[in-house]
Amino acid sequence: MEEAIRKPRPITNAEFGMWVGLASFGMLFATLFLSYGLARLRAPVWPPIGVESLPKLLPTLATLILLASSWTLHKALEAYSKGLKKLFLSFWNWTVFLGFTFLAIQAFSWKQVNAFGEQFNSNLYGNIFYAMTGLHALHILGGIIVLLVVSMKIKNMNFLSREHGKASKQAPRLGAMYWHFMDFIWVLMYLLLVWF
Amino acid sequence: MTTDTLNPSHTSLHKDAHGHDHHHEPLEPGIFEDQHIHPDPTNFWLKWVFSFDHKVIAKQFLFFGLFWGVIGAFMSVLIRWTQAYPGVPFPVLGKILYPYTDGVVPADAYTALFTMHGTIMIFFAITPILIGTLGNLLIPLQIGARDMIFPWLNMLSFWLSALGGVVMFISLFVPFGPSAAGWTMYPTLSHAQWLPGSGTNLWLISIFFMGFSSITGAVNYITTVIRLRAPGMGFFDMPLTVWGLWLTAILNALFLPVLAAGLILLFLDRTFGTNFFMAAAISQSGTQGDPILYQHLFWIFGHPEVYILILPGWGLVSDLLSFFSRKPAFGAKLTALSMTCITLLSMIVYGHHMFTTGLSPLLTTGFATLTLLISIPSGIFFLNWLATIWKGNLQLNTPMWFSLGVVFTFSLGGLTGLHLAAASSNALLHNTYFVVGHFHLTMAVAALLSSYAGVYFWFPKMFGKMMDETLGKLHFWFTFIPVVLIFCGMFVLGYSGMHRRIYNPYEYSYLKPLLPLSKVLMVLVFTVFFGQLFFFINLFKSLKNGKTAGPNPWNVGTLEWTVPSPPPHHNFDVIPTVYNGPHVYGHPDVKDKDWLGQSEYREGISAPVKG
Amino acid sequence: MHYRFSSSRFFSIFINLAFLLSLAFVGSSEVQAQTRETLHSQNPNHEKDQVHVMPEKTVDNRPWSEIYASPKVLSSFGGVFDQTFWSVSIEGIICFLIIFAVLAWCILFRSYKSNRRAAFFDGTSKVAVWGSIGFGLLVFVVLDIPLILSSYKHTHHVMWNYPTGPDVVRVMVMPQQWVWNFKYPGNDGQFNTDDDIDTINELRVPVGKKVMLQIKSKDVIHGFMLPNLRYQIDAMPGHVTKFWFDTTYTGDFELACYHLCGTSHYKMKGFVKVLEESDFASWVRENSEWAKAKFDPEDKQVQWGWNWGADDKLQSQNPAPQMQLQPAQKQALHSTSPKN
Repeated sequence: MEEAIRKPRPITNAEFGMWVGLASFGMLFATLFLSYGLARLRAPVWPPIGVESLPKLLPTLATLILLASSWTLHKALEAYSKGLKKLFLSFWNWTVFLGFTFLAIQAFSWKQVNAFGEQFNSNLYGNIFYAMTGLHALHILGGIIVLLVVSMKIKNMNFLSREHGKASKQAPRLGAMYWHFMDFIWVLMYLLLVWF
Repeated sequence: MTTDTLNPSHTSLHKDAHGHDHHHEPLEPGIFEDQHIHPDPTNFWLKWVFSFDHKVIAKQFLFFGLFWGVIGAFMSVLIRWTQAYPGVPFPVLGKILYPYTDGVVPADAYTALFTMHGTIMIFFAITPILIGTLGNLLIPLQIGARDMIFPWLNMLSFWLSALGGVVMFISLFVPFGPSAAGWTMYPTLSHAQWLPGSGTNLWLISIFFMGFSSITGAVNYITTVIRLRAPGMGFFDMPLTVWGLWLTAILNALFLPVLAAGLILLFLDRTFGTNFFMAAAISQSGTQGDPILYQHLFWIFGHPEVYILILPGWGLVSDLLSFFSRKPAFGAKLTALSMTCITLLSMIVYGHHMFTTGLSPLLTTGFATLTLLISIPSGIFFLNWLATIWKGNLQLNTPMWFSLGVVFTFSLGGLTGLHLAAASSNALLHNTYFVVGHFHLTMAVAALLSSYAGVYFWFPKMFGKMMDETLGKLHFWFTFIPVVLIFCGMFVLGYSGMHRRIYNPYEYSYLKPLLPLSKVLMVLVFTVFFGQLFFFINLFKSLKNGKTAGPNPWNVGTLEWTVPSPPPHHNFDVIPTVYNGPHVYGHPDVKDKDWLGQSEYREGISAPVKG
Repeated sequence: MHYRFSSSRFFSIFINLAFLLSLAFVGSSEVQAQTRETLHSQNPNHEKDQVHVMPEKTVDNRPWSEIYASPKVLSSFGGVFDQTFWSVSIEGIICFLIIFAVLAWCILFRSYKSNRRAAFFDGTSKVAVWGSIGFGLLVFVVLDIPLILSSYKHTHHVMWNYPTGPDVVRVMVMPQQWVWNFKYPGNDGQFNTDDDIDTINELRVPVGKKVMLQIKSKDVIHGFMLPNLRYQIDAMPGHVTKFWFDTTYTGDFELACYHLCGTSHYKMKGFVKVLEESDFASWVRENSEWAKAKFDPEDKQVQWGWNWGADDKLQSQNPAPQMQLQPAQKQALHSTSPKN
């Protein structure tokens, strides 16, 4: 235990817990990826005959927006560790805004593929798309709520006070871990569904 | 090594306005968030309902689990009644439950009964009692912590279970009845065409909540064990109970999400007409889904799940056998490593539930071989159990009897696993009562007996009173003997060809002669069902008038026995430093007593404090 | 760890939830009662129809070893399953008796005595550790490896060594809720032609010949199982599963569905009739002609089927050594046995 103190910034308890939680979330999405893989292996041709393949523009735009939100989140955390509250809040709120934008693009994306008609909507190809992106979007929505709650907490917090509750001090970092992870999952999903 | 365990980090100490010990916290705190002592909650709701205290949450899980356990057990009585007395109305309650058939259990109700029996016993009885109660109670106390590392998450975990329980309770009363496709809920039977009504949808939602509850609990358990162990408590100084609970939590955290994904896809199939598991002519589109996909997803979770249900039991029995033989647990480290090995192996053997689905030769042989590999660590820790009691000085009290019962029943059940692991004999026995006997003896009986052992053993710590020994022993014998006979009887039924989940086996001429055996089993079922009265009478009697328990009525060395019974809200006044392992019993150099506490330093015996 | 929140807020949420849930509960009970009333008024016997009755008492004079055991083996490979089962059982019983002996000894002879100490050994010595590991490996080598090898050999023969050639009787099986459909290729030897024979709940096979089944479910998962064969296979919708068996004596047997398929899963009984070769051949001939004569292209119900595929010419990927028929089974061929 002595030795641990001398190591460079050891991982806090809340962060450790978050990593365990991320492992769980990871298994959830891994199962969906596995199902996708198995369904695709079984199918003689992919996308199936008569089904339009997924459009590329909107999902790519969504990916860029989400990557941008991860960048703004990173800048926010930099500001936070320097104690710059206003800068932190500004980048943090940009992240929330970009998150909402991502969800809006996803909604448009769904609308776009829905217009492909019954062939797409009732086909396994379409079902998988809806299920995976839908579950991910729900998690992003949850993430947005978490980010908003953290932003409110930090806004009301006196940065220099000695406050109880280590979790609230670490909340930005924990929220960021979750958000980056969801971003990572999305990138995998995007590459798999749209490009491969 | 600092002995100031309230504040092990090296920053300076200030007392702030509230009188709490405090120090300048950097914006990003370091690793040692010290465990403050907080004032006890005084408000009734904060103290008993929405409590953060792991001990209160443990009690909440206990009563939740016992409530559902009685319901699940009653369902099993109804099931066995239809098998033993076909066409005969169920006594007393029959006419109330099934008025339109004059008290006879009808076929569609039967399918719902065995579905709900399995679901309730697994998710609403064993999990809350073994993992929810014992895990919450013991992990902080046995590792020398003040509480779980995330108390708010802990409370959330219970209330998610409660919500799941409410939803499942409602599902029992919906128009088309509760879900009825077996607890495994295989599509395509569980699809909306063949199982209409909201029962299954509610089932899916409820299990989702229960899973979420277990996952949040698991995050807590894993992190607490890794992070909040008292100074001097290395991994192999932890009681094996904690090992069992910790390994269970790892499996829970990793594999419940797999179930969640599978159930989400099934829910989508039912509600939105997707085709993940829909196949053949009924699929609306050209590309077919695959019912076998569900089986894969389910059993990737399902196999670890059965180990989830038994690992805490193994851990606690390993400890109790040592405590009540008054000698060390033989090969404790090897037992812990064997349990770890089994945990890892359990992740890769799930295919043995699917031998009859037409898997490829590679998968079939592979899964069979991997499954049989589990014999190696199982053999090791069985040997360790027997060597633990060998030449011991056995205190045959109620918890010890239940622990010995676990050894007996798990060996019986586990050995029949060999029949099922080999793909050849599995072909005969799959979906027969042989499987039912096997998993009940291993997963239900052994887990149940270990739950009882845990409750009897830790009741004094939880409630500050002792349970009655006579009633406890009566409870043991009225439980143990009937269940062993019942499930051995099921081995016979299974080998004779009786398949499971059938309302009327006597349609088949080769099963008709088995009716007398079913009747014998019915007597045993009633015996064990009413035998649980001994437990409930004991429980409520002891809660009211039990003999007051001191801090250490069993003379056992683990850390929870160093604090009063029941412990104060903050558990330990001073976080203890650990000098010994948990199984120092009968040490020849300890002359004044036959045990040594984990935080008791004895020159020459205790190891110097490690990091 | 000190959270400030209003207990009254929680209380109000709790009360509201409880109120809503009790509403839901009362509401659903009402709906359920209404539904029951409706169903009952439409058919007062609808639930009674699904109730089974006590079977008539029959006197069974067979020895217990026959009653409480799997029905007599019909297939040529079934005996090996029994051997596996019994050898594993005996090994298991021996292991269990050893464990029980240790438990009994310790309970009877090592009960607590205040004037004695337990023997102090904790298994940390090198001998103990390596001995334990060695014991685990020994268990695996003695119990499991023979089992793996025999199971491998046996499953290869039964599960994947599909029979080929003109002598093999081919049948398509389509279980549905809650009957078994069987289809024979008829006199022309081709499936999906107008002389296919379709039967419901009745599978007829000639004794001594190999029968190749392709099974695909119409709706939900079913399980094709005759305990006499000592083998079962699931029937999936959307997948064709394959199963072959042979028979060593004639008789009538009961086929059961071994995978939960709904309310009447228990009633899904079929019959397997093992006939003499000549009887079977004449049955096929007569019924194929009859089917051809009665063929109705409009009747889509009987025109189920799928492409049998190249299974005729299919050899298993890894041909296994031929299983030897037990001498007793060879003798039993062609002799009738009492109804099972």
